[in-house]
Amino acid sequence: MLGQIGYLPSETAFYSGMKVKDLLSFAAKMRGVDCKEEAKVLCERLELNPERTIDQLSLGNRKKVGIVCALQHAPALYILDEPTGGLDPLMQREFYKILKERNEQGATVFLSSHNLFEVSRYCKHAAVIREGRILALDSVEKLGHTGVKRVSLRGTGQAPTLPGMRDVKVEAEGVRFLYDGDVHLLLQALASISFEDLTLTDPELDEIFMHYYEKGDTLQ
Amino acid sequence: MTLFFHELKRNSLSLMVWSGAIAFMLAVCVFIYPEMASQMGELGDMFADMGSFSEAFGMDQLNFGEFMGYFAIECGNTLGLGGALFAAIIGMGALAKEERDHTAELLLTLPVSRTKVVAEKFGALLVQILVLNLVVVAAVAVSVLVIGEEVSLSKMALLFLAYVLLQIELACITFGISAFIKRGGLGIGIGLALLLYFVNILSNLTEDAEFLKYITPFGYADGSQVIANGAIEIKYLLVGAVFALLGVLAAFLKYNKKDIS
Repeated sequence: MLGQIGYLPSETAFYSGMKVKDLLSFAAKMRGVDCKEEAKVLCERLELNPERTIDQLSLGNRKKVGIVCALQHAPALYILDEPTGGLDPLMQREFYKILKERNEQGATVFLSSHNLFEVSRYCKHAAVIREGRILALDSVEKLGHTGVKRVSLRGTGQAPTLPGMRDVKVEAEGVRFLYDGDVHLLLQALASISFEDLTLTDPELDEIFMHYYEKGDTLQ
Repeated sequence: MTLFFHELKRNSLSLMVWSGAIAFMLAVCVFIYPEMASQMGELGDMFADMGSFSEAFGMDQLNFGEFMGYFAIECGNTLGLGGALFAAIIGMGALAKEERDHTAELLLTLPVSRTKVVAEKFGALLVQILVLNLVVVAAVAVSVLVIGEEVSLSKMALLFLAYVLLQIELACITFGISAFIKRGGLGIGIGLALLLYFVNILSNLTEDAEFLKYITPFGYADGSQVIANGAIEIKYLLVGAVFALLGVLAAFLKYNKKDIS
């Protein structure tokens, strides 16, 4: 089983005094596979120098060692814990490109992340976990289309009163709130007040995330 | 076997330092012997007559003025204690170090069984102890040849065998302990080795404390006894073997179920 899994811990610790390439070949030998070529390609793509001693590496570069360690043997299942911490945006993009290739070749990738932009951009399915319980599990698209709309009104200081309104914020330039209900009712209510501009958007994933966490609070 | 060689490689520097230091000290002891012997004359009797001090180090049983007697006591203090400390330190480090350095997370997510991890680490322990003793034996052999002293080969072999067994027993016990703890093993290891060493000195001092020799491996690996009797005390050795087996058994059983963090 473990042979088919590539695991990346969130905090990677390595044996002190080892060179990157020695560690990679140790991990490969422990798996009983020869993947020098793949390791070399991955190191090049992630701009990691295999001749360096791991202790001298920065956090991001150490993360890359962990990534190559988890990816070099081309497993069928990836379990990645906060994979992009410490990586610069360019590397993050390259990293997700590699994962996408692996995914297209048939591998399954699980990853945990606090960066919800990353999740909405690269993942197909997402689950919200709070205190060990899964609160929501669906495709990222469906999680994003909960029927809830983020409504922003500019040029008014007055919010309409409707059932299904949450997170109402009255600011100097306008009013913002989340609306979960019949859109027709919303439009009728909006017609009765004056405002300069209106935007209706699907909420961002982090708003949905907050939504589930707030729900969790009321449950307790 | 990958992990086995990995362990040896990681410990090679400490192994070199320890074997080098012990071998060097023993060689020095051997080299200063002719000088000491010429000056000593009747000094040997004096060493044997210092009452409980002589008893504590077994000097009442041997002629300190003869090379074998001199060597057995020097060897007891240097290789006995040094080897014991080395064995305890590496035994303690073998399993606990992975957790202290958080490398267990890396190691145990590789496709190896815990039993295999324990077995290969244990094998590496034994090999390190053997290497240390081989280096020491070689250094002593060369220096004895250089000073041209006659030695009883069988007694020497028995003496070194006793110390190898002592180190293996200590390594087994500390290996067993290291499966239970997460960190701070080094202190326990050194403490245990020193404690057992002093327990033996205590048991040399008084008849009442002789039963203590059953618990400490220094009981059978006592240079003066081995050279004087030309044999290792089997009853102490057997008890020691039981301790060693329990240690290794505990390591395998515990590590397979341990919650590694």
